[in-house]
Amino acid sequence: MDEANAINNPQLSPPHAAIFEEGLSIHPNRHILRDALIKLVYHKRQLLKDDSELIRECLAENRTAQNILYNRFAPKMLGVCYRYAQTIAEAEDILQDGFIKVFNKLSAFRSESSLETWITRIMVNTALNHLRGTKKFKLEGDLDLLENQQTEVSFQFHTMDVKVVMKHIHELPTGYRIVLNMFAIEGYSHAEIAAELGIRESSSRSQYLRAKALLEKRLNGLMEIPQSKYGKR
Amino acid sequence: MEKDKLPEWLKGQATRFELTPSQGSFDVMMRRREVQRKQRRLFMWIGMAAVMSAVMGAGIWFATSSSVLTPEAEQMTHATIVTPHAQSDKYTEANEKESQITQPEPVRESPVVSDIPAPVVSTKTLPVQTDPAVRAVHPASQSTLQKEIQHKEPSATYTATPSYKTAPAITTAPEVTPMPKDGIAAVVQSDSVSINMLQDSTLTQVPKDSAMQTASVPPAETGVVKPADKESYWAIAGVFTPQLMNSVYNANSDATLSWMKKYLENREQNDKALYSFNAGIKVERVLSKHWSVSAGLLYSMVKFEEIKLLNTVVTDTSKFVSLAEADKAKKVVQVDQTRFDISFSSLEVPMQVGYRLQRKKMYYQLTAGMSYAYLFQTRSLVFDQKDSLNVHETDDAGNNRLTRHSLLVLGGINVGYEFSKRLSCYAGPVYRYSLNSIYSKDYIIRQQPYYLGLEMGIKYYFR
Repeated sequence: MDEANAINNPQLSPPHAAIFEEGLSIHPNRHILRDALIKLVYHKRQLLKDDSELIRECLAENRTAQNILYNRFAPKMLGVCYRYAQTIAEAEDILQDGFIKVFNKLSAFRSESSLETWITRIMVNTALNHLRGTKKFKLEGDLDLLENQQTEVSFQFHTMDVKVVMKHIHELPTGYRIVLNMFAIEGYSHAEIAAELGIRESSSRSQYLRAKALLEKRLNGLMEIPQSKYGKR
Repeated sequence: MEKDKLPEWLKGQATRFELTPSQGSFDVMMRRREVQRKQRRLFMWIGMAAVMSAVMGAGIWFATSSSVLTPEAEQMTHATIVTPHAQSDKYTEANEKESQITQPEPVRESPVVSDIPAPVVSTKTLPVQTDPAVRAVHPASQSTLQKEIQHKEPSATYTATPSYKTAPAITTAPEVTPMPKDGIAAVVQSDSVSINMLQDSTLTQVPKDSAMQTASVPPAETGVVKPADKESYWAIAGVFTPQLMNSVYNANSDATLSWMKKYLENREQNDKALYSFNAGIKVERVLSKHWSVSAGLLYSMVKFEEIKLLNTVVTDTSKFVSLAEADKAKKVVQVDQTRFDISFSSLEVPMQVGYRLQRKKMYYQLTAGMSYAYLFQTRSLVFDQKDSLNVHETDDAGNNRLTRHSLLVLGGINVGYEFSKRLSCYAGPVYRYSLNSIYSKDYIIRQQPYYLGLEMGIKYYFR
């Protein structure tokens, strides 16, 4: 049914459709060509719908399938990488390293978690490795000062633009940012963060509290200023 | 205590956060992946080669070190006098009948021990009981040897000395069949006898004293011929040569054309050698103390970065299209720089003559010769001016602009070290120059590559 639908309705974009039609009209083996193209379109749609089929094709080194997988997850993963990187170029580097690992280790993927979760985990690990490699990770400030400090800032950012929030996370000092990302967004425990980054658990806690306080302070301040001012930076 | 709501809120925000990767990032990523896979494959091969070399080296070292004989022991391996001794009840009558007392020919006195009288020794050959554990006694299996000797000679107390080097030399008798060089597995000494345990299942015994006293029996008189070092012999070497390629560029047609000059200058200035290597085996025939000839089979991977001025009119950039060719038809409108990462895979058959000087365990070898190379694969990656990947990756093995057959002259100098009589390693610079262009004769330029490398090898001698 799907195949018949695809054959009757290839859904090519207008320029492609024009070239397609023109090609079909002059090609001596136009019937064969048409069938081949339709099968390609159908196959691509199948890949887009079915994760397991997509993974199987990626494992078979089908470049189209790899491209589909990349295009599906790259934007979100670039967002993940950017949270750990200093610049967008560095984030792209991490993204590429991460996807190389994804394609190399795809055979190890078990459907116990979703593909997205698995890829995200790889990206985070790659980003952390990158940080260790470049030795950019550094704890900020006096580590134990805020051990038991409570942040009293009220929580009122629900309507905020996600880009603004991410921009402010990105502007946090590296140590704060990494711990905040790992604890608040990725869901690592402080013990896991301590093990991953080679720091004390108490240091992880204090970095998180400091990061949280600073972020909340900055975002609260934003509420009083028009957001457009922040969009340009 | 109020629950920390920030993580939940941030997680929600983060899941909605997306950034668009730069254009062509997928292609760049796939290219990087391919390069990494190739490197991994290369390292795997190098690793395997290193492991094999190490295993071979260890095996050869072990084999050669256990068969290095002292001069005395070497003589002993070629002739042994056997003597009667206390008979074990396991010896058969037939064996006893075969026993004989032999008066060997007088032993020529050596300059060193000339005052030592030649011993009178009698011989008896005793067959060893068939026991696989003893038929080829390894030096390490001393306890096995000890047991076997005690089994044969229960009346005596033996001290096993399973090493040639500590073995006493023994006089010889012409009627005793010379033993193979590596025949002795161990020498056992007791208060009264020395027993050689032989691989050919013969247990021989000699009085210890006589054995000890005749350490320098001249071979000519005794039928023992100490083998002189062979003048000519074979050797095989595993070689690995990291190398870099550069080229000499010339115009095949009219070099006065401005575009041609510009093109050649551009290539000369901007082409860059990338890491390359060759690896394989060489077989050497040593002809004399100094001279040798060798031939081999090498796999050669050459990589270089080529900057070409491309006519933007030309669309087929994947096939080594150059400005020069396009300009033949005088259609050059505009030129852009395009970078090609090119790799050539060839099989080479080098043939060399070597001259060698040896100083103790070190040796120096000059080599010179010719090499035939057959190009069986070329690959090119095309990059645009801004260095971002331009989708073209081609396999141009069938490209008729390239010549498949090349002839190179080569020369080098090696410094080697002999670990043992049979094993050595060496390293040294090697220079190779191609006598022909990588392009076919009718192509408009000539590009003759030359290579500078560091040849490293492990050599095994069959001597």
